[in-house]
Amino acid sequence: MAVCRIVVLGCGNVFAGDDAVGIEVVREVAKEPWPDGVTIYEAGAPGLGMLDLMLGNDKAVIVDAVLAAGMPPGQVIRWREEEVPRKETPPLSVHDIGVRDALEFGRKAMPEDLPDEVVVIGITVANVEPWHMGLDPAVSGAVPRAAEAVRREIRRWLEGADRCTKSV
Amino acid sequence: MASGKAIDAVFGVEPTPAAKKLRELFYSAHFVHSHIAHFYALAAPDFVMGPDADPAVRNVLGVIGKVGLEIGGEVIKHRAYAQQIQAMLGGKATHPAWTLPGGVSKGLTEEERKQVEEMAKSCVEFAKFSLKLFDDVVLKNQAYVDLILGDTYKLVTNYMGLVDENNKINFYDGKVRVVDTEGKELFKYSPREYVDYVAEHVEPYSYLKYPYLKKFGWTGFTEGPGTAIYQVAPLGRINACDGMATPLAQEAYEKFFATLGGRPVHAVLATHWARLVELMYAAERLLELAQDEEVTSPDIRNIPTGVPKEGVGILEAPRGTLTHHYATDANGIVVKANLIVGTTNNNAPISMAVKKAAMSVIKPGVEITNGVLNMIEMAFRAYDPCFSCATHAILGELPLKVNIYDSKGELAKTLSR
Repeated sequence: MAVCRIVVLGCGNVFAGDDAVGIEVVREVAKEPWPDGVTIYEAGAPGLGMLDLMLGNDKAVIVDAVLAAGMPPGQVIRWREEEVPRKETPPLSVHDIGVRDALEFGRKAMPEDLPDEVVVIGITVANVEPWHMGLDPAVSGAVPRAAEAVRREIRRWLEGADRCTKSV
Repeated sequence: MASGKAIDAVFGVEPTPAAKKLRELFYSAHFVHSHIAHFYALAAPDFVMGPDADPAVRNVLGVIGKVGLEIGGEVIKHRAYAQQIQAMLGGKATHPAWTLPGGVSKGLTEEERKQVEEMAKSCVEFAKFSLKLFDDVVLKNQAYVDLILGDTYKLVTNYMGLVDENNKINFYDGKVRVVDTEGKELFKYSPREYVDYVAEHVEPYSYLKYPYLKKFGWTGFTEGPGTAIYQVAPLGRINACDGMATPLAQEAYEKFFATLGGRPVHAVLATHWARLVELMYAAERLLELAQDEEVTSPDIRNIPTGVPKEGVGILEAPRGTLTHHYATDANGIVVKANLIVGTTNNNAPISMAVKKAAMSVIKPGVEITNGVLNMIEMAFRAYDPCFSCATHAILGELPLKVNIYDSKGELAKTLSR
């Protein structure tokens, strides 16, 4: 039986208020038993390092906080890879490399080793001040919805596992 | 790893020889992983594409577009090797809970050792390639050499780094050595003595402290002989040591100082080259340790028997000297802790280097272009500071603002990223 290799990356910093939402979502998803081939990481602020965690997987979900002016906190957004907003400024540290840039680099450099499909689940946030633990109530309320969005992607891929090319 | 060393000291237990080697092996892989990313993603865009290139191409994609897609593959491959080695030992590559008081929780099998050896050989070759790339792209371009050696990015301070008994760089263990602005040794200290040598200045506008050399007292944000300010990280380490403990890194070390006018080098942008010298050392040391038969020894832990009390652990993080100091109660519960992390040591130098670069490139009548702003950021980026680790939100930007004042001290313009 084909096994789909799926990686879920929860990004964020638990000591920076709502920035922790990506971590909280993957913790919720990890409570459910998943079959072999599904790996869930609390990835922190991986920057370019997200590629290391994706190599050799068929599919990937990235869960991250979204700072968007004009959008209320607690909205759950689903982006396909090509829809992810690009950072407009050059990185100042290796952790500062955006999702879109990291993926584009990986796709050009090692296309055959990266997942053929990457989905980003974003949660709009209010406060990402450092040295603060805990989520804003509106953001906290979005965690179950975001977790369900992640589960939906995993289930969709598991049901179509015969289309996974990097099967173990 | 620094916390592991501090906890060894808290429990008064020495790790076994095999455990020490395994920790250093793991840590060498960590340096390979970190230094490759910094050079190719942060330093290379400014030099390969040019400091005033369009920001749309002044990035890692632009770099591989210019030097070859296959180089991008090599960057990812060798970072992944380093991650695999860390995961092999620590159970996971990021934030592993692997060091224990007196040793480590898992060793290497012979089969794993052979895998590490092959990956390490490849890392050595990639480090050679990276040094050659720097040579071809930067050193053969006189304009870049002039930029590195010019006053815009010159900061005259003391330097700090961990050294072995021969004063060679060691990332994992040894004594902290500090040299002055002329490169002369000021002192060396063991981890437990750090409070006698380093103090932390506080400014009201920041929660980040400004460490300085206690011997001089707080001299403010000053450079030159007598300053209390010191620099850490690759430039601090290469200036504070007398050489590298592996042959190819030693060759690269000698070329570094021969080209840049002898030790110490006060050129902030030379940090990028120093980082590649260290990449070579980390790769060579990784290979040396992978070929040491003791790393497969099952004797990987001394069980602590003493009552825990207080301890300090120091090692070199990629971004500088890292100090962890814990005091515990008799049950081993931490009651007091102080950390001086890599970037914190460089807090004052970063502020000074950015100010100096800004004052050098922002002049009356000169239009403030993207290229000018980037030349200010280059001073900041050389240190690879950890400030932006704070958050990682999509669409979020590290807040960076340039205030430009006129000759009367009035705010004339503010530019934001």
